[in-house]
Amino acid sequence: MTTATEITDTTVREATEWLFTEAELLDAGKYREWLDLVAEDLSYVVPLRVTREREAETDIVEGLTLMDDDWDSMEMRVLRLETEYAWAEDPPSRSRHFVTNIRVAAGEAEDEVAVKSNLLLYRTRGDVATFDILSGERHDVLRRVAGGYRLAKRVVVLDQTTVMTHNLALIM
Amino acid sequence: MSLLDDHVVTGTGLVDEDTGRGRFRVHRCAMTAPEVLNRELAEIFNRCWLYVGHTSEVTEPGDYVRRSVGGRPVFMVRARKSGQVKVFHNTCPHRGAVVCRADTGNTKIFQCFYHAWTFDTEGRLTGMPGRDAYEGGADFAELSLREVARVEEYRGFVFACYDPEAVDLVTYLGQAREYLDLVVDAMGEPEIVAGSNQYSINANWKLLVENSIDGYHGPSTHDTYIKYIVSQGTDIRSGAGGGNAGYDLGNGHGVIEYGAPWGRPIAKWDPLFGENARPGMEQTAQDLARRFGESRGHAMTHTNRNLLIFPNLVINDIMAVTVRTLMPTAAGHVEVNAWQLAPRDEAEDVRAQRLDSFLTFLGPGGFATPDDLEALESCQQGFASGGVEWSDISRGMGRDRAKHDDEEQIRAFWRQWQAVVEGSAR
Ligand code: FES
Ligand SMILES: [Fe+2]
Repeated sequence: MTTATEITDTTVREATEWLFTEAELLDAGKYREWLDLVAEDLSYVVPLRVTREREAETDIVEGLTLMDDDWDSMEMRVLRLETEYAWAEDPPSRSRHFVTNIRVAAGEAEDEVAVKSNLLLYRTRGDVATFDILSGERHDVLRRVAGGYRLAKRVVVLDQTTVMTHNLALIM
Repeated sequence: MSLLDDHVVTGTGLVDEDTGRGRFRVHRCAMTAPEVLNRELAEIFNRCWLYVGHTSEVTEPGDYVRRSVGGRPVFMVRARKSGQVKVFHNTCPHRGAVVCRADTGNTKIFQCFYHAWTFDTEGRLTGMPGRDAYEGGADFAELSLREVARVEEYRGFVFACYDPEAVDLVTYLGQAREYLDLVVDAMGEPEIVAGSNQYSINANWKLLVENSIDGYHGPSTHDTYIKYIVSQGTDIRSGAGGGNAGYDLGNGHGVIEYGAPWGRPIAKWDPLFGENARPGMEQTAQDLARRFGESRGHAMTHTNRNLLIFPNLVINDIMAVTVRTLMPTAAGHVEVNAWQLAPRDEAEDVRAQRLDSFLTFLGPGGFATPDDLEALESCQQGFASGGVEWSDISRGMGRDRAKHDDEEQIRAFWRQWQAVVEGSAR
């Protein structure tokens, strides 16, 4: 068993900056560069939630999910966005990631930190006058590597049971 | 008032079939007019058999799931005493409040929170605060939860119908049963995997019906998906020559069948499943061929099926088995719910790959469904341009035997749609 990283002000600042840089890349459509920030053993999951009675332990469904990606499928996602046949994202939507309430804690492994953040994702497309908003909490694991951090794990818990945007073919 | 306004109100003359000329077309106001939607709600969704859920979702006494069926809130429960699967209107017989307020759970009683009337899982009114005030002779039996007029099950698929006069479910399903049988027999004991993907599309619901059984759009719309599975080692030529066909199954049901260009989790192995799963899947293929005969066995394991049960249930038996319902909320808006059906005793790694394949193709963040949605929304936007009044659905009309990328199965839907909407199917 390795000892967990001690969380210093520097760690918090680095993790925060990492998230902000990531958001900037995603909003600028620089998916290739974003992939460079991702670990090869990536797990990216968007679980499903249902309406349950208050006394129920969790409203997260064990079974089906909304998204369950690894590095291969994420790379394919990026390749897909680069082709001219990804009809759903051509023309691309405009997005803005608002990342707040960042909480940094020790990770399970020595070289990892667990970072929670709130996400508000605003999205418009074409000249349609309406917009979509996705709200959720991200549970990330960032792994320290030479020259920075890599995203090893992300769970996005959306605050909705029905997908309220025209698709989830975007990175949250 | 133009002739068309008349047609919109009466729902007649919107489907035009001319076998002599080999022309089949649908008037686009069927997709855009609110009057047409009103007729659909009255004639289709209030009269046809509609899918509610699967018995595997309520296996234990007291298990329940809440659903919207034909746009109405209902819930399905495994009654504790009788063991029956019941479907109730989700409204309190007292003064109306919704009684079941969670998507899923297990309970002994349902209690309406407004005045705290309680009902057992058979639906009987069992308690209320201040019962003595009803001594004037209230009939408690009459104040029980109301069951939907008709509820029947076919091999685990539970359907409901709001029309007490409707034909029985087996008659209604007709030839479509054979295709449901293939899905169920291949799995032995199927179950619905917990959870469903819910999303909505800014398009008419019938465009999604068409799309769900349209073999023509695959290569063009889903180019990036095909490239993805090829990059993962799938041999898409493995499906060639698989008896590709499209059928009108009567009563508005239709199906396409085609050799699977990819792996199928029951028993068409593919590198995506991993070497570990290979012997087991090959064994299953042999077992099914032995039990059901070579050709039926092969149809179960190596043939893809997209089945439409009129009006709004789609079963896609492709790289996973998806059960999908669609319900319009406006002429240009449809809500979709998609569940996964899988064998109860499936090996863990095959199950994981099944769910992954489902998400990769059919998930709202997958590599295919977003492009379908884009296509449907694009059609709906195109309709607003006017100029072109009719959509053409004639593909393959001259052929003796329609192929899976013809439009015969789509015409099957439209023929019944026209008959039901104008009231001549009754
Ligand atoms: S409305 Fe349900 S108890 Fe009164
Ligand atoms: Fe499609």
